[in-house]
Amino acid sequence: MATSTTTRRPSRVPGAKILITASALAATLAGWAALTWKEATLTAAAAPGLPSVEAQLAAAGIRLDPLPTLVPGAETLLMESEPILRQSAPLPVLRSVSAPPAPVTVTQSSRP
Amino acid sequence: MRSLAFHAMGSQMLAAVDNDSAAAGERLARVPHWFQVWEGRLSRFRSDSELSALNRFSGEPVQVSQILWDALRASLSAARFSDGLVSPTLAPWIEAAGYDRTFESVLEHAPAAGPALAPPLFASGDLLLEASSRRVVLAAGRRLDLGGTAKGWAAERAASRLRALGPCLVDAGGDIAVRGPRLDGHGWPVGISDPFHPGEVLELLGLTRSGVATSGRDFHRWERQGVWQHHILDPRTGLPAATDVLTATVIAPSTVEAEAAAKVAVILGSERALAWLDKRPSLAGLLVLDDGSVRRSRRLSRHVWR
Repeated sequence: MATSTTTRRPSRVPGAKILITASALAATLAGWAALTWKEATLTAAAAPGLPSVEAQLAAAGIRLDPLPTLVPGAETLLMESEPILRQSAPLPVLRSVSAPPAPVTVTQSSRP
Repeated sequence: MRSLAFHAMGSQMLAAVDNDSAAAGERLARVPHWFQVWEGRLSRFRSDSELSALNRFSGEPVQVSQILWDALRASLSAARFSDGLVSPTLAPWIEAAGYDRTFESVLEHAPAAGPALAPPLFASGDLLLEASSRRVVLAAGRRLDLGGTAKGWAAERAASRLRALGPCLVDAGGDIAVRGPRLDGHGWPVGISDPFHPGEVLELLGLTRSGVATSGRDFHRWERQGVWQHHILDPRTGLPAATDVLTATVIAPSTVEAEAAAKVAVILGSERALAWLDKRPSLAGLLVLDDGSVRRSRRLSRHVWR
């Protein structure tokens, strides 16, 4: 009877480790390249001589609504608050700074 | 505003009315005559005055004029108001200190040494007034000197007479009566003279209805036997007051009170004088001390010009 023996061999493929490392490195470099390209594009769009973002959006038929506010009509409230501030801190009454008058007479111990 | 300056009672006087009419001018012109009449009744330096006659008849009942009657009542009021520190019966002791003639004469002739005297104390029996007959009894041996009280009384009396014409001020040698704010609504600007810098004002007051007076030993003083004397006597000793107060100015409801309170301040000295003034709500004062420093009572700021 024949005896067979099975020897388990490691499932590693020679060079796999190097391949994985190289792939990860390539992916990283590709990401950096993509980010660098995108930033360069935005900088170029904001540069003088180029159409503004609003112009480009308008050309594309996109309209931006005003940003939502937490307190509707906040500008009005701010203006109305000014008199309240004046009431709590009234302006000082202006005093006359004219020179005091010359005395009509002086009091002193009696003398001839 | 009309004003008139003149000399009376041994001092420079001023009367002013906030009224430009001819009637005001005519009334003002009579003020020196009023003072002349009052001085003729109230002076202890004039032998023909009614006060001198009363002094000669001490111990006997004497009927007096309305003028002397009113002035005597004012002097008794000042004695009570000052707790006896201002007394009308100090004439013998003032003369003993050398002030036995007008002040100009005192300066010209060195007075002789006076007798040693016991301290005079004013008693209610020293001067009796009977209102129904306007009779006066001055205790035997006593003699009256109305002094500054007479000036304060005269300033009050003149101001009361001028008041019908409008707001007015009468200055009787530094004892000043004020009646009413001026027509522009402001008080009368009255300066407190600086005894160390003649011609300069230490404080400017704005007075509407009150009296103000200054007493001091900065001017009425003379040398006798190498010792400086002055006319503000301490009735507890019979001698010229010896304190740190050189001059005292007091504002009071009336000029008589102001004059009496100013004398009290000189007699008491600065610390006690300020406490005395602060205890009396109707009084305010400014003291100039020998060292040149100035002390103010708590209520003086109410009367300072604003």
